[in-house]
Amino acid sequence: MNRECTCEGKGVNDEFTAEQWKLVDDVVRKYRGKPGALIPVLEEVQSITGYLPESMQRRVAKGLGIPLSQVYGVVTFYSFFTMTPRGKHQVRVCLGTACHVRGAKRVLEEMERKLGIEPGGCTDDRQFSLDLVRCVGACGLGPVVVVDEETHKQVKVAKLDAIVDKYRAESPTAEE
Amino acid sequence: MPVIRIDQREIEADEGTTIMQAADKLGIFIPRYCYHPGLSIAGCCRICGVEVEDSPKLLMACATPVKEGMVVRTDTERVKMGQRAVEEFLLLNHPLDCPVCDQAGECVLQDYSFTYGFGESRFREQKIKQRKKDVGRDLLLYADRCIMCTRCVRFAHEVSGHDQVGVFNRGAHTEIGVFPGIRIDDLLAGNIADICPVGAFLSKDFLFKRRVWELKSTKSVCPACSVGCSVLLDHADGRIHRLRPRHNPNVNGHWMCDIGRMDYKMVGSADRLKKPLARKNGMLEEISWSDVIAYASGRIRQIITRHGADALAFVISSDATNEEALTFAKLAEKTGSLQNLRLLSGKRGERIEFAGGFVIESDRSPNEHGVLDVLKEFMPRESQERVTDLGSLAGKRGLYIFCGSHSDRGSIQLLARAAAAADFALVHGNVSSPLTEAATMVLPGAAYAEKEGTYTNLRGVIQRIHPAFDPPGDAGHDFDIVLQIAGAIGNSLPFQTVAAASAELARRLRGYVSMEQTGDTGWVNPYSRVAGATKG
Ligand code: SF4
Ligand code: SF4
Ligand code: FES
Ligand code: FES
Repeated sequence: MNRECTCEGKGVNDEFTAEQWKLVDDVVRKYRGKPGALIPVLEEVQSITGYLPESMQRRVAKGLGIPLSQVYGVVTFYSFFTMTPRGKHQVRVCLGTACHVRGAKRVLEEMERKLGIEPGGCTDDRQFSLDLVRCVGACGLGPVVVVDEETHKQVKVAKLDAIVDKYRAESPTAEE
Repeated sequence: MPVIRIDQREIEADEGTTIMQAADKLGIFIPRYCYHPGLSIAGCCRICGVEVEDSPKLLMACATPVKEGMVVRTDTERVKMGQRAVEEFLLLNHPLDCPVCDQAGECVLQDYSFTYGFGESRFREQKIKQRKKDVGRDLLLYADRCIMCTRCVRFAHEVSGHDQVGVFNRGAHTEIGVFPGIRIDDLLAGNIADICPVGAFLSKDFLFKRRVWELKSTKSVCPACSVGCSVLLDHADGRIHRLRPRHNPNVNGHWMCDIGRMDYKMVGSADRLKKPLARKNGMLEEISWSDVIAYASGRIRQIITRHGADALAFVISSDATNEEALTFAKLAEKTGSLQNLRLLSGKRGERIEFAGGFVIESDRSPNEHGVLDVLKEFMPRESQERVTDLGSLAGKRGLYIFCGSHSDRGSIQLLARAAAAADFALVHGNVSSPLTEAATMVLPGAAYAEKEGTYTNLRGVIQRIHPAFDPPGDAGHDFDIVLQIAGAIGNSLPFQTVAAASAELARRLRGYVSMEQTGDTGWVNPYSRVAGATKG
């Protein structure tokens, strides 16, 4: 038991809405006491909150009555789980061999500049997050950029504006 | 019971044990990192692979149960290849900073690399580097020295139950750590540095103090509570540098707590009494041993002749050894004051129990059980019920208080008042306190690390302590001091050495044995008031 941990995820509440905390607690309650619950709980919680920051892991650990070190171990082990916020749209630039030889490096650099973030990061308006992938199995179409479920082929630096704008238009930002 | 063969030697192994345990019994050494007899089996480090007939792959000796007719080889070329491969793997990202690593000299990775390794690495890439982290009151984590044996994780889960330690990330980036903001601060935390086979978890207190090969280890017993964990005092040049638990299935298992681990500081403290003192014109002043013995015995004789033996009282602390208690009781017997013999009880604290069964007892002194056994043997039955009643000493004209390193504020102050009120108060201890301040004369004695004798823990296990070095300055051995006082009063005692006193105890006290017979793991007194031992 983590006697040292007393914050229970409180004190950083402002990150999430009361509604989100409630949904998270519901998920935890549903699984409490069931063996092997940790991974499904984290999966559902991440779908509610978008990511799993320390505060959320504390809440899950406390709620399920399992060591925080175990929750942290699972979250850091699976690449599916993330401790940094994710954007509404996931941009993945392929840096696999085939894409690389067709200039993916420049595509990536340009994308970084355009979004103002590095791979692993998320834009301040939480619209986009950027990641690298090593081959998505579309080598003949390189350089490839995957946004959400959609694959963009033969991406040239000049085409990036159009791609990014397309998704930005789809999702009005909070101010609008 | 299954009969198996290991390297052509036959052994009848215990049902349900492993190849590792059977080999240990035969004295055949199989290397191990993740295996620790006090923890569950992980089978994750792969260094203990052995060949077993009819099995296509090497099997892990620590995790493979023995089976009737099993034929095991620990010395074949395949086994050695396996060991070499594991060693090379473990060193891929290892910083090889032995020259500045505290573990060097007792590092299993270092020793095995030498014995089983290659001596060369084929890894030409960048090593993953990590900074050292402050992870607890007394713990540093150098994660890049870690070999991922998970002993620390299992310890925190199974033994302390605090679960602060975990395995994070994946692949080459896998590392041991704690959740952000969590600290390994429970009272068993120090054991983690002991069981980490490499220099990943290290003690801050010991950091860079000494190279381990400069240390001598003396077998002793922790005086900080009535569990009496078996310990090793690691010392050099008359100073203790660290304590480690000594495996004892009768008492502490493999572990000790951090209260006891840090208690050694008292031994080298600036508050130690180093010279005999006597009050002159109201002030305590240094005086020679021969004078203090002569004056003190003179005053005791005087009180007896003027006011009778009942005006004299004797108090002994629960951190005295059994042998000291015996001489002290003998002295009280000779002066005819047995009815005024009292026990100064140990300081009380919170009783703390851990997930794995380890307990820190509330009586924070090592020998209340033993001292009481001795006092009750001598005291008249009708005064025994007052043995801990220090208030009943009010009005006594002469007091001999053997207070050791007793530190309970309340009783020290109570005795200090009694001492101030008495005509003559002889205080015999090893640290200065309000009580020594109130004394007429002060006899400087030895701390536990400086003496020989036995303690009886609260479950009746009698354990021997050995002296690591001499007491500081002119401080003496308590046993001898009491003998000398007795001799000077004119009542020499029937034994002159600790060993003889110990033999006398074995004769007189039910279930006791002499100090030679206690061995390294103590003697469990079958007649003891409380039976059983703590698990560890
Ligand atoms: S820190 Fe030490 S005990 Fe823990 S896994 Fe690493 S090597 Fe093993
Ligand atoms: S449990 Fe008691 S005897 Fe054991 S180390 Fe702690 S204080 Fe010392
Ligand atoms: S290398 Fe980019 S899709 Fe295969
Ligand atoms: S000691 Fe057997 S696998 Fe580690």
